[in-house]
Amino acid sequence: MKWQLFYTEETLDKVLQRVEKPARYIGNEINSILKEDADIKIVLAFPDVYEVGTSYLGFQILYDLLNKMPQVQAERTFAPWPDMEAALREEGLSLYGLESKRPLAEFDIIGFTLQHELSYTNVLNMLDMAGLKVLNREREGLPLVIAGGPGALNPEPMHQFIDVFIIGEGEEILEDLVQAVRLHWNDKRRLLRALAVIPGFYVPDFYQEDFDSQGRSLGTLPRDSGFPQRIQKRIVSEFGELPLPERWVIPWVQPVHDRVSIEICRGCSRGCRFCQAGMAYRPVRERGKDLLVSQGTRALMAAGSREISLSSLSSADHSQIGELVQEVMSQSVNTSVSLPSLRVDSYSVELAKLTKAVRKTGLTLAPEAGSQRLRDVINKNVTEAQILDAARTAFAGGWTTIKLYFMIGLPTETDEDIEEMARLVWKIRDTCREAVGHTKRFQINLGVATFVPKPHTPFQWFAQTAPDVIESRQHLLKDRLHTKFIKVQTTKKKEGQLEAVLARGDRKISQGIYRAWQLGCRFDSWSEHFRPDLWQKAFEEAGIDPQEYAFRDLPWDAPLPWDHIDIGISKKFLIKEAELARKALLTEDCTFGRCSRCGICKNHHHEPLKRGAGQ
Amino acid sequence: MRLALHYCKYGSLKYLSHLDVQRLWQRMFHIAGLEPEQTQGFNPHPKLRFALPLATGYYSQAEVLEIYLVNQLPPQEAAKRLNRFLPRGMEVLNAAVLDSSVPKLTALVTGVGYRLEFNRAVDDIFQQVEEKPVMLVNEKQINLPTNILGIKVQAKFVNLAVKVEEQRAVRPEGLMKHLFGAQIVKTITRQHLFAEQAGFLPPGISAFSDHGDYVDDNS
Repeated sequence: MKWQLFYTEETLDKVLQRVEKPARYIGNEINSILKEDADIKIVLAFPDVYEVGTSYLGFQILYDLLNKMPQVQAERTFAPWPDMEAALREEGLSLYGLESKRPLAEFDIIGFTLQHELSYTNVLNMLDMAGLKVLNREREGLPLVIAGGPGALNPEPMHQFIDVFIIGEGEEILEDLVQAVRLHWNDKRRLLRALAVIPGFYVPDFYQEDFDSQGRSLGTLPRDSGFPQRIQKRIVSEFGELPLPERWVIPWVQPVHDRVSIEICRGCSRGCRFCQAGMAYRPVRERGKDLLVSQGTRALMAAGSREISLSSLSSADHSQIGELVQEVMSQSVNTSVSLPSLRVDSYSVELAKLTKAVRKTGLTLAPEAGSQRLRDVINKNVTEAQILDAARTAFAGGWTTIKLYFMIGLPTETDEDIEEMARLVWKIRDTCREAVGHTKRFQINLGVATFVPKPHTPFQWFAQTAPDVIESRQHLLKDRLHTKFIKVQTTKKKEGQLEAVLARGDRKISQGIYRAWQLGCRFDSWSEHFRPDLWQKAFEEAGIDPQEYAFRDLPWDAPLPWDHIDIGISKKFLIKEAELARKALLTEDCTFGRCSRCGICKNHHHEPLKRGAGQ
Repeated sequence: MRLALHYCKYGSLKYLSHLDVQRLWQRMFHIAGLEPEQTQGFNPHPKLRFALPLATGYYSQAEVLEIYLVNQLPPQEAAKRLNRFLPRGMEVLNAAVLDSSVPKLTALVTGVGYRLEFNRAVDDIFQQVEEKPVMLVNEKQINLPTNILGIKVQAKFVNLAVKVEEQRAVRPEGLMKHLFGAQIVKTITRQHLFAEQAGFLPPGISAFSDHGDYVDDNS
């Protein structure tokens, strides 16, 4: 590798002249920041392509926050597309930070976000492209390689590659990290020891996972008593007061989501039993309307943007959502407001109607399951009447396209539930017909995902449904909905299976990931790059039976490979929820009704949020 | 207010596509507090037009756009405000108010001048043009002598001016590949935009007859 402190324009010309969309790799975007005098240099590394990574709210938040710290420089880097990877390797150049064009190995900290299991091989590849050893035990000194995000909640599959996992919300913990690195920059061992005793930091090297005679996990425990048994998730103390990012970096190449996002709530109390985010980001917190309007409008101005997204896991749940939407709209003329993750009810559709997004984009509703029984199993808390009501409101309100999200392969599902899903979609279709009249065209698009059991959810114990069953149900559904105005899109079965293996993986899986990367796996979430054959080979060579991880019901009392990660939700609650699921019984949303005793408020000394019943 | 801006684009910003540049400017006006007039209709967008789109990978000293603003302000003030926010590598060099007698810039531009840097001396360029006077672009025959307005050679550098018709012009890298077989151009910089019309011209656009830069003394 050619070592230069910074790559010059001339050096980079050699690679950029022959790649597709070179603007992905030049930095210098509006509102990007380059400091000259930083003593701590951090690069935020997103293990997917630029257009995906630049749409990720978390990095915008951390970038803004870190760069506000004195003498800290935060830069960004994204997974180079295969053409860029080839060009860099051919020229012997390292992956670099977009702001300074400094090779990654020159940074003090490389911070990955693990948003998705299928991006894991990209993490390894990016480390390798930085000229660093992929295995943490073979790396000495800085940069310190850290990782956060949902994937860190079951860190074991990545334990061989990452030095330190961040458990929980980054905002406050990063200050501790920067301080520790300043103090112990010349002694990595000491740095790791110092971090390992601070809540929210997990140093896998100080822990070990034992296995029984069948090779099943007996849990992950500290190697010596100086380290905590469980790593407690960190949450910010005053989310409501936490300022929004002021300067939104405007990416060059059109990103997946080209808009400014403001996080109106964090956490969700709906309690859907499959949803990891719904458990992981508790407790539910809100920012007040006035802060959101004033800082949101300012961020919009600084970004020169005309699109703002009121981001949350369930936007319509914000206590002041109606006024909020109206004020944001009146403050910024010609601005379109989008509300991701709407509840399935007419109130939410009415809200969306306010935002002028009508006709511009389709409306998305997520009933998730087709039959009432199965919706109760997952605790969706939505009735068929509400779904039809929402659809009617949408079509009467001017939408001509709606997108419906469903899942196939949910626990307890039978073919009858799929028949019921098809019947529901037909009813929605009839409702649409009625609402728009017989002359107008309309379109219903179904996105049908495959259920993947995720750690820290009530469904973590449930097996994934076997691929041939998934396939036959996908066919059944398509067969029942074979008509002009309905389009059905399903996910490929093998990607879902790999996701399940990695999601519920233990330390042994790590070797499979390593081997898959060596065999050439990259960009596994991109179907044109996904190589199930190589993954199978990798697992075989690593002595791993993927079926054991994906297709097995786990006993309630079995130690789980992620039990040492404490997200603040009690295991008793998760078991209770899983048992209620089996009986198709509902649990109330605690912000509107009774406390469900998930443990989060007690564990974090948090005052529970109560919302009015009017919504 | 109809405003013309003459700006340059250098450094790694040469890798921005025309689409990226459009998106950049739409944002820049908002950021600088200049409010573009919006088109009426289904999907309103700012009334923004570029004199001639620039290919990805080219440097330029001669980018010109026109925009209708709701604000009334001196053109130099608009330039100053924009320069405060433009990314490193882009700078407004000049600005002027256009009245309605000036035709659309897209219609005004009839020629474009480039400076090409080569890996080697290209003194044989005239001979090559003579030997290969017809170039194929998308199965269409392009007659070079009628499309090339002028060439001037200085060792490894060539100034090349070509005709622009309805926003279309011969691409210099394609032309050089046609002439020399292999790709031997190192960098391409757009230097001038030309108009046939005499009299008042927006900044960044000049009359071709004013330039000696594209006339070779030896040819």
